[in-house]
Amino acid sequence: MTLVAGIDSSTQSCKVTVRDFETGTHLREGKASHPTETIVDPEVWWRALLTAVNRAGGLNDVAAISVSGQQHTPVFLGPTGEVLTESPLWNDTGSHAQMVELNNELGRDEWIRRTGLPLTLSDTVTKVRWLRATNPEVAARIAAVAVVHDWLTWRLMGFGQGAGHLDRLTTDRSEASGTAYWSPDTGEYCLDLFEHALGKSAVLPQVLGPLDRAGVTGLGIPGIPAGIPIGVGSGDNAAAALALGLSEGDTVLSLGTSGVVYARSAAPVHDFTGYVCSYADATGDHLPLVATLNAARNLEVSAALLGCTHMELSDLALMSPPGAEGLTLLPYFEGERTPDLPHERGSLHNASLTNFTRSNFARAVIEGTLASQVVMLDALRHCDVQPARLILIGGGARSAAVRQILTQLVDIPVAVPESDEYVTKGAAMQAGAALAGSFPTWPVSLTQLPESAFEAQIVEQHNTAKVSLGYSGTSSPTCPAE
Amino acid sequence: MQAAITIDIGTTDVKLCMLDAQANMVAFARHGTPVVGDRWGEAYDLDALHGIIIDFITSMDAVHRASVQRIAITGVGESGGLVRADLSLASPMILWHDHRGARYLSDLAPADRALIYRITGLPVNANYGLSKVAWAAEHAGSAVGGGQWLNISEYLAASMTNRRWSEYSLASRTMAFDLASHTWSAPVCALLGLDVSIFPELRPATDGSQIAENFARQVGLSYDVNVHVGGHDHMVGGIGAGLRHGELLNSTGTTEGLLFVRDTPSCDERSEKSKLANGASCAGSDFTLFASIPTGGSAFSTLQSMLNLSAEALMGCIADLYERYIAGAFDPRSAPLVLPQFRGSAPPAKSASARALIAGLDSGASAEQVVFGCFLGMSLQLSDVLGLFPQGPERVKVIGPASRNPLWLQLKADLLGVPLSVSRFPEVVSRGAQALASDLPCEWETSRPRDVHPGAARTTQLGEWAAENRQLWEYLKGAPE
Repeated sequence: MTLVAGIDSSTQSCKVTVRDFETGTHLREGKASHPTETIVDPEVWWRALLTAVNRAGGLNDVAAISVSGQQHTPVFLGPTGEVLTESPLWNDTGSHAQMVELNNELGRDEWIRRTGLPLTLSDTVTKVRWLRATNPEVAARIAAVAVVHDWLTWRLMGFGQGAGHLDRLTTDRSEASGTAYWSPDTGEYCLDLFEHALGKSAVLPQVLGPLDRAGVTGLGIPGIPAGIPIGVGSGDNAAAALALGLSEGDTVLSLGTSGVVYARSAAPVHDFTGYVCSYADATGDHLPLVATLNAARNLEVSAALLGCTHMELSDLALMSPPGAEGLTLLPYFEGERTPDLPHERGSLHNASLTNFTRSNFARAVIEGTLASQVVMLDALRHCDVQPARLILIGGGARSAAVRQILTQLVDIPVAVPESDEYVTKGAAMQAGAALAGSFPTWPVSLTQLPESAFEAQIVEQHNTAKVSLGYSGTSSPTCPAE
Repeated sequence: MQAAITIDIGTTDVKLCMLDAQANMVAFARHGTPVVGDRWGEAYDLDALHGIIIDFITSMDAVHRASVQRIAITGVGESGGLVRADLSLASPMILWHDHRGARYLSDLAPADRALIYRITGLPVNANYGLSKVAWAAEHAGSAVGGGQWLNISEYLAASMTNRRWSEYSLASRTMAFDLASHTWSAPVCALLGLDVSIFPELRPATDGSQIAENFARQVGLSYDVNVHVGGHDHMVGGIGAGLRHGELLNSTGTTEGLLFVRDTPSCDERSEKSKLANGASCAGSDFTLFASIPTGGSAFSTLQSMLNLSAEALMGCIADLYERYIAGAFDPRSAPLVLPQFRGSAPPAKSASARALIAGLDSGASAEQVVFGCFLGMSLQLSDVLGLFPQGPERVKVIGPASRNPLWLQLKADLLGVPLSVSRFPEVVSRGAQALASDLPCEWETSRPRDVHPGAARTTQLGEWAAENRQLWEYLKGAPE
């Protein structure tokens, strides 16, 4: 049996799964946690990768490997490959001021026109400017900027601290498309945008094609054999999309740390209303995407507040009627990027003696979380990306209440794939491509959820709550870049 | 004092006390206030209410029962119904917060509203009795049969004496009472098409009626017991607290009341805009200036049910937060900003449809932070409402359930920057009712008060917290409903 390994270096943890190259069957896995801080030493990601590999029983029997990772998050490297400073994660809101700056300097529409991205505080270019603003001495010493998966791939090739070889840094289209200094139209870096942000040039990873190899593994890495092919890798959403085998019209709602809505598209989009980020996917197509900072963690926070388990939270929510008797939650617990409210926090609205109950609160949390996500489907439609089916994934998809309430919020079929680690699966498919020159064809089992009556008042309440706090003057969401 | 049975009809509970001649409590019972719904709102379940009272009196031991000289009834203002001379009902006995009569007020012109405030000292609101009287009269039609409007306390007194009368402080909560002349106001009644004859004779709380023989026989009381209507519960609390001019009574029941005693009403434009409520005192000689915050002690049960905590567990949480707060180990900034309008908004907005908002929930939000935020929000709300009064307090006297909540008390003292004098005696309203029925004054010291002092550093800290949150707080208060 030929084995391949996929690695997902996500915000919260590093996961490794080992699969049968022929069938994609999940054989074993390992996992290690990442710190909860939003500015961290990249070395923790490398150590977590090695720990996860070890916990997966090592990869000595594996024929190829590939890495996916959290998008946007940069690693700042010096001339000899040394990490210069800690990295701000994509969800660190400290770069809001730099996002505003860059938009003011070049114009919001210029970023959209050049890169397909309404610039957000998460994009790599914003983080680059943030470092220049907060630590100009270090910024002046930057020789290369890679994102997490680029850097881990480079480390797997045996490069790293003091070894130089910045020219061997690689990336893929999906990661390049999240930097905001890459054009989805030309497939080339926009070096002037990068230099505008940093104030100088630096080495950027070579953008490889979907079926390319990044290289082979280096010597002396614990648990990982030397000389096996390393796939091109990708951003986490692109890897999941690859594993889910998305067709035109399939739209994914991922309820993980962040909430993400994306769909496969043959062409890039330029959404001048400011909702949709035109990312690239792992197949050579595009993956227009809208994201919120707050998603599945809302359920954790709320279960902790109510002193109940996730399952009890779900049961409570299903005891309450649609609209939770008017109780409404805006779930911006971590601030928000869509809409652009980095300094705001969650708020509970319209509480009275009669409706402020545990079941209504539980339902308001789930309705608020989902209303924040499904309103983004309209944004995709506005870009001529027509969702025909919604595929629900991520940790939040395990909640029965999330599944049922989601069907009350959309008028298209909702399907849930069988439980799997889709990001690591997509990475493993890229490892397979590095081995065989083409993606393996692995089956995906989807279960369609029973349809429910559409409950318009849920989104109406959500919009009313936004208006009441001045977050939106109309029922439409606000532009993240404004 | 005269040994008395006191009956306090609250929003949530009915409290019955037997107070001996030294004002010591020798018997006590508490029952949920019995209510029934009808197609328009909520009304008292009078059979259940009579049953509660009869059970309490008849279950007292014979010696105490024989010692009773007074029955003093107090309770919520604004409630009531039309009662015929034979004590049959011409309407339901409507709850104070029932707004079934709101439409009778909706057509009042600004000039009419200003006139009503000048005469009655009350901002137009469907809580007050007048709109309910209009509703009851219209629905009774020809069946009104000489029915007169009695507050729930007055109705109970009537049922024990076969006499109908209205007590001054309760009359002044109907929005039909002329503060200047101490009579029912014909011009105000006429605005709603009513005649003053729909209201009964007026008496001070000190003026009772002899118990009816049939009722005395039924419950085993002496025929020479006098029954008194003590008056509006917050105002009777002022009597029980020996409230003097310049002192603020902070009365914490289901709602939270702020009450000053004054020589004259305050019916100027500022008070009207602030929706401060003037009233006649129970004794009938001076006046009260009052503001009610709809969410008071009810927040405790709201938190209890939401967080799935027993009363003991929530009190434990509050005690722990208090200890940490005064030790400087709990940062008020970590709590969310809670605008506690679970029952509608406080003056000057005073909107029954306003709802609570909780802002500033982050991913580390915990139950204890919500609890702290709730009591801090209630204290800030109190501070705002106090600022509406034409005078500041020389002393703050606190009665009611807040007396047992150390965190709420300390937050109030720190935020206001003034010491609180807090009753240790749990039923100050009942003691006030007894004093009125005995026609004797009440001394605050008999409530064995204790002082809660503000801490200078904490006052500064909360002042800074309030300043930082002021813009959002005002925004939340003004948020569209």
